[in-house]
Amino acid sequence: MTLAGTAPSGAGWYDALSFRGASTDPAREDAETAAGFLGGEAAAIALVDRWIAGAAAPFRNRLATEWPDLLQEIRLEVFRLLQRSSWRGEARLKTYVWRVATHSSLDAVRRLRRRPVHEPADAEAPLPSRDPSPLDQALEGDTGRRLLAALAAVPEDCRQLWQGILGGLSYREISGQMGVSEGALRVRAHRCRKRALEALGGNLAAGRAAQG
Amino acid sequence: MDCEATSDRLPWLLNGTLSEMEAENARAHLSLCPRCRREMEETRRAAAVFGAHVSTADLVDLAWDRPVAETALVHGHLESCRDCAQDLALARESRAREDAPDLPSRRGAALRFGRYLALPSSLAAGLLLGLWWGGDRAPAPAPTPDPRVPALVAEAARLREASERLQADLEEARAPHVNVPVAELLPANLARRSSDAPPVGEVLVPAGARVVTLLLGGDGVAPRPAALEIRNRQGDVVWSGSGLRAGALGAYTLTVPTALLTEGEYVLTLRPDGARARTYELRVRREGPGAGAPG
Repeated sequence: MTLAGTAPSGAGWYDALSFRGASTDPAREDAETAAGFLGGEAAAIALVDRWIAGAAAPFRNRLATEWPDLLQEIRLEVFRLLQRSSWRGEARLKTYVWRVATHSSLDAVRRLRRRPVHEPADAEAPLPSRDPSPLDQALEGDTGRRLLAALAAVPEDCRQLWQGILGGLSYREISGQMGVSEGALRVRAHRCRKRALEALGGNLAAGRAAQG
Repeated sequence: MDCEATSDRLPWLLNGTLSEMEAENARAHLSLCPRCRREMEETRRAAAVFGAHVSTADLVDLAWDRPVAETALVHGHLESCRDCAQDLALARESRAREDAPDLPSRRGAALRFGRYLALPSSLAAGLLLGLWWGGDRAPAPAPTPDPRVPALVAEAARLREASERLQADLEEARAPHVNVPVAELLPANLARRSSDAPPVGEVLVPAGARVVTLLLGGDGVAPRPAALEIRNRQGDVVWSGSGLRAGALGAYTLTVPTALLTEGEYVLTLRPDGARARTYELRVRREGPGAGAPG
């Protein structure tokens, strides 16, 4: 029985069966699925959607009502990436889509976790942007590892204090938790800031020296 | 607010938890003091350090067991950062789901379809295997036959036969019809007046013939579209239809499957539009197997 056929017009099991057939060549099958997805073929879209939903499923509880939007966002991202030929067939298409979906889901969870950092100029901004902030972008690249190295070099009490600050706690709340006066806390925060910059400066200098 | 008070509050100006008045005063001071603005920039950089986490790309790579740069640094952070550890756990959970079967997918559908077909045969094969196994080994306990097996085996055989029949019919329909028997019929009133013509038209259907062509002669009236009705001897309508058109010689033609015209006598009534109806009488005889079955 030859299963090769035309693209399906409906969504029944027979359509799914007849969609291009069960190719024995994984690379060809993936290429056909990618082309079908970009071409709007129902079966290919359904297949990729299943992958996306499967990959994003563990994040559902964290994202609650934002989860359906995330699926849509991932689908668009996959479409955009495939359109730009970012997938070159090194991995199976399923793995590629799965990784993209996991990456986007992690970003969404991290976005939700992060409290907006208020800049003096845009303190009235109602909602944090969904786009990566300059901080996010910096963290994603090589600088991100230098920041990580700098963080590893600062004392634990500094990290705890600044976690509270970045977590959106006021200095009154933190001083209450740590049992220190507000004035002493502000001084300590200032000292920790200097330690972090020193650590970062050392890493940057080391990085520059390593580059050349 | 002076420089010292402003500088001490910059981290909380950044996280937006200063009181409205404190924030207003700090912003006012920053607008006038370049040194404190530099400190604000340094506070942002310090926030970048304290807010550093393992990058999402690294977490995805770790979840897929791919190498990441500066592994010790990344793992060291993962040990101390609960958020990153949780994120990695989520990524690993997602990655684990990738290996789950793709159902329902096109492959899954094919597999399910295969299972539907395979069910009767696998049950039958299992039964046969069980019989063979049991026949050679006397002490083996008697197998408990699944009551569904005979029905499924019979159903599978029936479907196979039906499929073969349909395939044969399809091939037959595609083949040209040769040696088609033709019966030329005259209207009954004319046929009875003529001394040469038989009282009714008669056609001898050879064995294996699949169709009979009937030529319904005219009566000299200008040919018009007509309807036709065929009744058997008992008066039951065997077939009726309309839209018949006469050919150049004024005869109406009709090719009828022999399955429709079993052996016997028939009366055909032709009703041309706006003209008198005429009847034709037909006797069908068959050669070979099936001859004698009444029509």
